[in-house]
Amino acid sequence: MAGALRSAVASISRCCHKSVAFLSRFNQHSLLQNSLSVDSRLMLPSLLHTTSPQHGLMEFFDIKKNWGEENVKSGRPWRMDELRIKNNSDLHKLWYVLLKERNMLFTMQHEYEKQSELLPNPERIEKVEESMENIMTVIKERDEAFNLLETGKTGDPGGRYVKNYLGLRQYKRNTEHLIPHYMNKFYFLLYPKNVSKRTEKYIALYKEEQRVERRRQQRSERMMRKRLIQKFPHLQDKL
Amino acid sequence: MRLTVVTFNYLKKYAQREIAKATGVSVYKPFQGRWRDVRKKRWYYDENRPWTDAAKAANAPMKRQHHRLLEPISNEDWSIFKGDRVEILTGTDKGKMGIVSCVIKERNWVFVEGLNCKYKWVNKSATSPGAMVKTEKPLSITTEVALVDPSDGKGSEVQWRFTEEGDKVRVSVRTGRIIPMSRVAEDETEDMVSRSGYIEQDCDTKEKELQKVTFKPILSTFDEDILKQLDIKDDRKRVQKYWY
Repeated sequence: MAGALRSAVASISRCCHKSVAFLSRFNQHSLLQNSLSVDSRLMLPSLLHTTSPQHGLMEFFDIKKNWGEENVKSGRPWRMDELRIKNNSDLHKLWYVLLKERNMLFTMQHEYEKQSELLPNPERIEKVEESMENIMTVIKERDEAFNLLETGKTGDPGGRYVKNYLGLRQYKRNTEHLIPHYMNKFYFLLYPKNVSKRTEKYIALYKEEQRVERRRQQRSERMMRKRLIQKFPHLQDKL
Repeated sequence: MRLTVVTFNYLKKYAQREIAKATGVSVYKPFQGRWRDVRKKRWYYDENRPWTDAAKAANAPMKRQHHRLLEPISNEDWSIFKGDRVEILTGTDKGKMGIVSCVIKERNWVFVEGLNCKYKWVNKSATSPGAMVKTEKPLSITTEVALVDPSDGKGSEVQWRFTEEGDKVRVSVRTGRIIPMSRVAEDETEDMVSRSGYIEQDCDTKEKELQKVTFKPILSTFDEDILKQLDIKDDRKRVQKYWY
């Protein structure tokens, strides 16, 4: 068992860590090569370094050339259509590449803040986050397609409306538990079978508050529309 | 043909994040033992982009701005872009034609290069009058500016229509002539970066590699596929889980 675990860890490390052997073995893979692109410049740190393949903890920091720079150039995020044509293994590797880039950016941001300076080009964080979100969406699509084919269901645990301890109805996502609900004390504290009658008065007041707020918003929208039509009469039919 | 569909949202998220950072501070109240949020609810857009220092200074917490009424124009109806030739309809430069240098959708503004300017003297001193600086004033696209029709060289109203091939194009209502997009607008990406000015960076992916199709549909979930490829065998007996 221990042997199996060790081999599993080794195989994962092969996937994530930078090593020359790993690169030569997966050289065909697009993600690992230095690239040129006219139309599509992508957010992807290079895995091929000429100085030394393993940086250790220094991978948490940007390349020394960019330290103190005012502008650091970067590409655009990965689009969903570009991710959909890649296989699972490529997406898996890309995820970790992006994760490391994200860690690097946050480390640099923290360091710059310590020096009372601003991180150059902070939109890089948003670019990486968008690429990662897109990967999750693509993986979700593939899993859902497989589940629908095999089981007829998407595999999404779903959710339902429940009455919580305040007596208010809320949408609760179905979560994983080790014990069934009739044995779960904590679950019954949050969502009791019978809510006490004392809460009815407060629920009515809360609903009134929500109604008043909704009416206030509708009124403000109506007044805004009126003011717009007053200033721009040609919008009378459009609004 | 210009893509009206936005393919990525990172710039919008980045702007929202910068606005959220700049709209206020949280002040700690000693003795009360709580934090008090001093935050502005409304962000006023001006000629500076929201992530710039000038925009943040204009939206400082205690600074008051009067409410501005803006005609709502959807992304699909937006017809004036950077690099277009427009005719100015009002003001001192009425009747003149110029090229759009900047577009600010949040205010329905357009800046025309060299026209509709304001003049200001800077570095004045007791001995010298200083230097005069010329800066463009914004123009409203609904009332003060009109797109120039190339066939007769005059400003006209513009509509978005579809060609026989299915492309969405701007058509002058008066003459029916198609007004093509400027080269500058085609060259610019959604995040205001020039496509032709691209310089290869170490971290970028090649276009060839980007377009390479490695996906093969397989009957397996993502997790199972990765486990199989990494030779990880998970024979552990699964405990029954309850979902509620």
